[in-house]
Amino acid sequence: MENLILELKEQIIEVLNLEGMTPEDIDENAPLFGDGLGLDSIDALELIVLMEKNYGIKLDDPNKGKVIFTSIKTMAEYIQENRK
Amino acid sequence: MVYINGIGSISIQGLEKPELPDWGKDNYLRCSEPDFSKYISPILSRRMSKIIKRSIVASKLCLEDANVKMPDAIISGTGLGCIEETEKFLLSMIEQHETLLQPTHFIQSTHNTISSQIAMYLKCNGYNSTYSHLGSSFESALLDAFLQIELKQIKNALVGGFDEMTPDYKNMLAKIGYLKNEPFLFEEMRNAFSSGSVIGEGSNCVYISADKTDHSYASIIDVKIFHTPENYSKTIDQILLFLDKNNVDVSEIDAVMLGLNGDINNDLIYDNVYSGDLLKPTPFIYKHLCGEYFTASAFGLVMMAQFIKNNRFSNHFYRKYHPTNPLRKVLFHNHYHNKTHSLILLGKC
Amino acid sequence: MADRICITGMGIVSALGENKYETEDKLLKEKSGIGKLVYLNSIHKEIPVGMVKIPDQKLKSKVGVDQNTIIARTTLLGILAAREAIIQAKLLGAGYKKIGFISGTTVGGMEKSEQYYLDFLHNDKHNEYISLHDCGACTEDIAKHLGNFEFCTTISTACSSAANAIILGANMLKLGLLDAVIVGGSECITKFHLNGFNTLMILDKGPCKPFDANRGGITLGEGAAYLVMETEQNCDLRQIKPLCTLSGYGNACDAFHQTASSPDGKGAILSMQKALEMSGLEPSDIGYINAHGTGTQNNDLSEGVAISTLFEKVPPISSTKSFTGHTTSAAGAVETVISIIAMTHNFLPANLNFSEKMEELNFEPIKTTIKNYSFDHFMKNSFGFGGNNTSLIFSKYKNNN
Repeated sequence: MENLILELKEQIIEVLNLEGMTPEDIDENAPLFGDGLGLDSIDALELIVLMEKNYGIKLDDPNKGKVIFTSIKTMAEYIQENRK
Repeated sequence: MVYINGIGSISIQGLEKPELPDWGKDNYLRCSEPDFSKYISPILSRRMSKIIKRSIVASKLCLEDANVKMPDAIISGTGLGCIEETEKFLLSMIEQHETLLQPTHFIQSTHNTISSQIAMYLKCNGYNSTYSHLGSSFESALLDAFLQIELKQIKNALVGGFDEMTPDYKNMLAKIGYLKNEPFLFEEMRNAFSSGSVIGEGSNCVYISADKTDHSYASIIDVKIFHTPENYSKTIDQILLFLDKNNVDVSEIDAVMLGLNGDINNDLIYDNVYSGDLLKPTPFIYKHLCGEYFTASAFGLVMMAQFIKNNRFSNHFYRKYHPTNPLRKVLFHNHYHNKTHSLILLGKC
Repeated sequence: MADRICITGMGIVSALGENKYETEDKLLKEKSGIGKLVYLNSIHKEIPVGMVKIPDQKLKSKVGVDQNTIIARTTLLGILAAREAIIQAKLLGAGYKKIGFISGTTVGGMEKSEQYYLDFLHNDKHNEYISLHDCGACTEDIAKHLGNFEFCTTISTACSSAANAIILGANMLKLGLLDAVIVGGSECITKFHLNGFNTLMILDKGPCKPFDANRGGITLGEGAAYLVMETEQNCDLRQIKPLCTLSGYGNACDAFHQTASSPDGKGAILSMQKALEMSGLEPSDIGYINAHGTGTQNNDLSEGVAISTLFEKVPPISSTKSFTGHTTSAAGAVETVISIIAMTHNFLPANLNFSEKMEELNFEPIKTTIKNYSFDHFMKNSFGFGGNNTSLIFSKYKNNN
């Protein structure tokens, strides 16, 4: 799980172009959207693509993403349960 | 009549003292860019492509120059739009067979995202539009603003010419003869002998207003765009009509800023018009300093606005000789493949 | 008194057909043009779209070009629609010296570029298509097949492009810069924007359901439509009866988000207010609203809220994107022509596929076509990506003399 969380942080920094941020800067329990990292609906779509590309998990309903992407931790847990 | 009260420019040049670029063997140069983090926070800029960042910063500089916080309208001209993001989305769509595509590249690719992003950055709810019509993209935007001010629909506007040129697109233009094959010589701006030009990019804007200020650069007396004249005497007719409409005699035009670019086919059109006895204003040139691209004329206007105000200009802008009079009225003439011709009549404030 | 801007000709090509008559027929019969994706070599065959059911070869014959002419589909659609407008307006015999052509497009020649892009990069097989790529090239190509123009330009503001073209045209007429102007837009479906909208997950799996509580997103369409506009004075001089007048218009920027509209519909309220102010009309004078109504959760809510805010009593409203699909850059003109057809033939077009009212709104759209219904003014909304909001108001022509 630790490795997955670190991996996710690195991928998110790259895909969302969070320039200047390192994995240490991101708290895996902090909210990704709204407060916390302050990501938006476009970022959510990018994360959906990331999940399918890197972990083979397809999300057809963007609304499901709201729960899964609450934090890096919840994202990692979902991936661990569902990855192909 | 409107007044140019602010200018902003990001080009292959610095704004203060344009230098003759070293076009090298590629005949292609990219913008010299400021440190964008000084102007745009990382949270906002992370998703922005180069053209968006340049255009936002050029707009911000322009409004600061004009001492204005919020324009009534934001109108852009762009020939290629956000071509870099377009290429990224297009290439990934082809290579990945339409799967796993990133939405960011798509939303960044639409032409009007430049105008919209500027509006979001400034929180401007005013009129917003984008023109994309080859070499008259910027002038179309300027015309729109000019007409709306004349109709009193708005009092002022931020008008920009924004284009980027990626290496891939430059290569495509080279294939169809738009890029000069041999190393470019400044002499060709006086007397072109082969086809093709040098290619550049830039984000240039002006803030225009119905109100004159102590800091106004120049007045824009009128703007006109006309289409595919059958021959050069029709072009001369259009110019004379334009001047006549504004009660300006040919003899009052001290200089003409020409869209010459060292391509013999392009430059011949201007030479036919301005080498007779009738139209003989001092010719100024600029495209060898910024490169040719669809909205290069915005760079030219920004330069000429400064010349009119300061009555000082670098030698690099003379085609053959320098003017003997101070610049009181200047004609700005740019054409694209003889399809669209744009005229801007400028005056000293 | 200010000279009125009159519409003297219209042309339309869409999923409903290749001219006004086929369009009116389908509207009255409530036959949607939305169906399968054809002619485009995409993997997304399951996504419903509003195609113009004419392949390129047939379009070339119809517009009278050789089969081996290098020409984009967007151009072909544009020529077809513009010609219909020019013929109706009897423009060729008008003796005008200064006619303008203002067209809205965002894809331009992309439908060809996406086919040949790898060739553009790696070989010289299809170089002749390179200069067709950009928006302006498309407009110039349409213009070339129509006649000589004094002025020509292209607006590219995504889904509000054609509506903005109408605004510029009107302003040029008001200042006497042109004798007449042809305004509108053209857009064909491309893999580029089909995939683009798909990545945004805003495409409905079935035909779109504007203003429905269970709406699932956009159905894309393709098409072209143009209006011929001239001043009333010119109409009188050459004795042509206008179809209707353009009474007011307004454009504003939502400045909220690149793809989403603000929840309070600020930009929409501003554009509608500007149009009303220019027209001198009250909200209660508007007899019909042809909404932007894309069928997305976001747009229909934002637009619905804006309309409810501005109109104490919401007039009959429908989104005809349920007939044609969302024709993006051409939508402002396609839907204007549909609305003028409705106004001049006294009917209200239906908002197909509607069954359940949105709980956030206090109105429902028109469920079935209402015939023998007369209205004097309609409003057309077009809202583009990046918050580009445009509203137009057209009125029945009533001779003031």
